[in-house]
Amino acid sequence: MRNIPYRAFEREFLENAMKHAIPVNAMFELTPLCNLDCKMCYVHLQDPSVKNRLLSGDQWTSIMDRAFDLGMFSALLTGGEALTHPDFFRIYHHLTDRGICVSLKSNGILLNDEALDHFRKVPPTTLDVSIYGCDDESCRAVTGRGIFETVDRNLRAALDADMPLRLMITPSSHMLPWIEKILRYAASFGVETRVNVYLAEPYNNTGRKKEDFDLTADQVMEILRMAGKILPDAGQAGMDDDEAPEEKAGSVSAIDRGFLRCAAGRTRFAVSWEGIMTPCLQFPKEMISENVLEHGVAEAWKNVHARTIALCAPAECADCDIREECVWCPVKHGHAAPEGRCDPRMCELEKRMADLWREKENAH
Amino acid sequence: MHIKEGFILRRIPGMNIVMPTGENIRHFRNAVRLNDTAALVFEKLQQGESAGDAAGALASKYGIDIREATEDVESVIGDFLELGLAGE
Repeated sequence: MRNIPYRAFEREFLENAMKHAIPVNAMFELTPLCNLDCKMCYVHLQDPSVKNRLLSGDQWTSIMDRAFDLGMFSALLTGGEALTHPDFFRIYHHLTDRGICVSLKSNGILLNDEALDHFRKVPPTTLDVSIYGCDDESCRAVTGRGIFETVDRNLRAALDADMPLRLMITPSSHMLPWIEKILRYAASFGVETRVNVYLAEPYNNTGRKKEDFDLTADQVMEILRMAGKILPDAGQAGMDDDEAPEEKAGSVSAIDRGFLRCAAGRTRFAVSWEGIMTPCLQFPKEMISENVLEHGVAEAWKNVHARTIALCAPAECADCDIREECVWCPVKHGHAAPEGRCDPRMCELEKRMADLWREKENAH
Repeated sequence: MHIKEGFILRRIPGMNIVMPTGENIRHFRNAVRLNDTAALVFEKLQQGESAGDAAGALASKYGIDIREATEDVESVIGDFLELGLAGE
């Protein structure tokens, strides 16, 4: 028996999963409901009848058991606000009792003493909490509610309880007036903080549109530079960590490889609150999706995986200057993706970000 | 000799990995990768079988001498004890 560094193990583990098409990681969107109403949210629904259509705890654990049989080792529970699902802790403990590494994404409002009691007994792998403001005014501008004090208190209690806390900031046009203060507020916790600059196109039934909260490339670059100074260790580029590419750009272009070089659809899937499997959360359902309630998890994964590896990046990527650095991702390119095109605004942003990375590398 | 409560052996193509379960996650924050021999021993011990039974199973599966199998099992058990997977 030998000890190897975790990174080396992780690489070997993922390569093995890739080779055998094992979905070692799954994302479960337990609910589209939320106790906030963020203006840039891609999923939150307000239709009260949704409550009656949520999958029950039994349905979720049955889906998760089938994912376990396929080789799932880690799971992300998300929403909406995952903690609002009536069976959240039953689902959580069902997974941890089977040795699954469980991460949670939350807005922190329900991260109260009762929730912390559960997490003290059985800690999650990561507790990702989104920060929306640095005071009630900024929180209200983004989420519709003055929740600053509640979240601040809960975050500090989670830190005191040694929770594996990670903060997430998703800048949008509504957050802009306070962005520097919010970054400084996040830095005050002294934990890993990620800045997610890729805003997803909201689902059609949300009534929201990305253009209403989107940022320009200039604004994104300014935020990234600011974050680089205030949060030197922040994850600045890319989707948040769980969606980040596991293979960095190298000598083979996305065109040659046929598809984006990330885990989506290859060693990972997501299941929406309605039981729809996609390669990852936010992935355009019109491109690849399977209903696990109708087809079962194993059959759905087989089809999602097969369709994922058959996908090609848009032809226009072949001549692009940053084809070696950019990972084409249907989530980033929104409505253009299902038509096999790039969103020019996203290409502009990717080019600017590639410049920023080169600049940073040269500085080092 | 026994495998402690709160562990599960996961077998997927190409890998055998022991994960902590439930409240043991709080105490044992690692995963342990086992080769096929160690995985077989882990499985036998977790099923309540003795080290001798595990050696017999190993000898039978790989067609090796029982003394050699016993040495292998003892070595693996030493590793399990060191890692905190097993207790006396």
